[in-house]
Amino acid sequence: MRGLCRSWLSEEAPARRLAVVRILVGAYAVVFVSIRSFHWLDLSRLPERRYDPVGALGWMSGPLPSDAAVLLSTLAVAGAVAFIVGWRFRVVAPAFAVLLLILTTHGNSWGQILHTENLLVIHVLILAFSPADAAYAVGRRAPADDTPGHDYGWALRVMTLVVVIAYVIAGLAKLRNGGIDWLTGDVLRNQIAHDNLRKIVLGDVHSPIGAWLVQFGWLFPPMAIASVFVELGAPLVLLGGRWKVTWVGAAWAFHVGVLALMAILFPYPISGIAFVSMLPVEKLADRVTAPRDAAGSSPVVHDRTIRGAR
Amino acid sequence: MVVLLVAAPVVRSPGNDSFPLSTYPMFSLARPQQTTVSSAAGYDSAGRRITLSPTVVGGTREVIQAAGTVVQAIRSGSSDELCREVLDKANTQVVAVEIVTEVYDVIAYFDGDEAPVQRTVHARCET
Repeated sequence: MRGLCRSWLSEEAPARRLAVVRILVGAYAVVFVSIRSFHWLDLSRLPERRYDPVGALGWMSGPLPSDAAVLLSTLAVAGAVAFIVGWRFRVVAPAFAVLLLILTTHGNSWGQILHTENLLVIHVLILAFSPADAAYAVGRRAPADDTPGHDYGWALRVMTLVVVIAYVIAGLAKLRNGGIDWLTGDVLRNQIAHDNLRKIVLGDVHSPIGAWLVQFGWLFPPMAIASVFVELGAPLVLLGGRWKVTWVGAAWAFHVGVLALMAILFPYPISGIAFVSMLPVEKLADRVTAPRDAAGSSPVVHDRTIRGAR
Repeated sequence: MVVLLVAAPVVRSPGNDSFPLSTYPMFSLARPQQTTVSSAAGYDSAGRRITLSPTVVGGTREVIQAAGTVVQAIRSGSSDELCREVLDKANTQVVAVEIVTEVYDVIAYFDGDEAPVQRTVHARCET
C-alpha cells in the first residue's frame, strides 16, 4: 500500500528539477504580482459594501485598508524575487506563499471569482514547503549527490496532481451543469456567443473569430467533446512518457482555443508554467550553464549555486 | 493532504465556488440561446447609448469585475446607489445612466439582429 501511494503521490526527480520549477514559477509570480498589484489597489478603494469575502478570508467582515494593500503588494513582489533566488527559502517562501494567498483571495472577494490564479497560488504553496532551494539557491550549495529521489520528486508530483484534479473538476462541472447536452447540443455554441456578446455590451475586447464561427452550429459538438476529453483526460499525464507530453500539448492547445474563440487568457497554462512540474525542466538550466561548464572551470556538473556559479 | 483539499470541491455543487479551492464552474452552465446580460448603460443628451468603461462601472480595469458589480447591485437592491455612483464618475457627455438587464438571442445577435428581446431597467438616474 505504501509503495502504491508512493508511486502515485511521489516520483523520483533530481534536486535541480525542483529548483528550476521554483525559479520558473517564481519568475511568473514576480510578473503576475507586479501587474496584479494595480488591480488589488483599485479594489481596496471600492465601497466596503461590495466586499464579499471568500475562502481563507471568509471570516473578514471588511476589506483590507488601501495602505495595507500597498504594503502587502510591495512585500509580495519582494517575496517573489526572494522565492526565485531561494534566499532564506525556508522562512521567506512560506511567508510569500501566504501573502500571495491573502492578496489573491482578497482580489477574488468582490463578487467575482476568477479562475486564472488558483493553480499559481497552490503551486507556490506546495513549493514553499518543499526543499526547492536544494539547488540554484543563494547561500546554499547543491547536494553533492544529484541522483533523482523522492525527497525532491514528491512536490513535483503533488503539483502535477493539483493540475490534474483542477482539469478533471472543470470537466465534471460541465457534465454536472450542462449534462450530455454540453457535449452534443448547442451549449458550447451558446456559451461562446454569450461570452462575446457580453464583452461587446460591456465594452470589452471580444473575439471576432468566435463571433464569426457562431453561425456554423455543426462545429461546436466536436469542439465540446474535445474540450471535455482534454479535461477529463488529465489523469493520462500520470502514465508518463508520450501520454504526458501529448496531454500537455492538448491542454495548451485547449487554452489557445479558449483565447481565440472567447478572448479569455489563462496566462499560467498558456505560458506553460502550469505544466513545468511534469517536464524535465532541469535541461533548461543545463543549457544555460553548459557553455560555462565547457569553459572548464570545474568538472563537477551538479555542484552549482547561484552565488557560486561559474 | 493538499491533494485531498484540492479534490474536495468535487463534492460541492459547481455553483458553490470559492478560492483557491474551486469548483471551476466557468463555461459549464447550460446556456440557452436566449441569454441575460446585466450592465450599466450610459446615454448622451441625444439619447444615444454610450459604453461605459469598467473603471467607471466597477472601480477597476477589469470588465468582469464591473459586470459582477452590476449583478451584485441588482441582487442586493442597491441599483439606485450604483447608478448614482456611475453617473458621478462618468464623463460630462453622459447625462443619464441606467442599470439594466437585457435578454438577447445570442445567435440572432451575431446574425445581425442586435436588439434585445427583453429589457428591464432596475434604476435610472440623470444629471
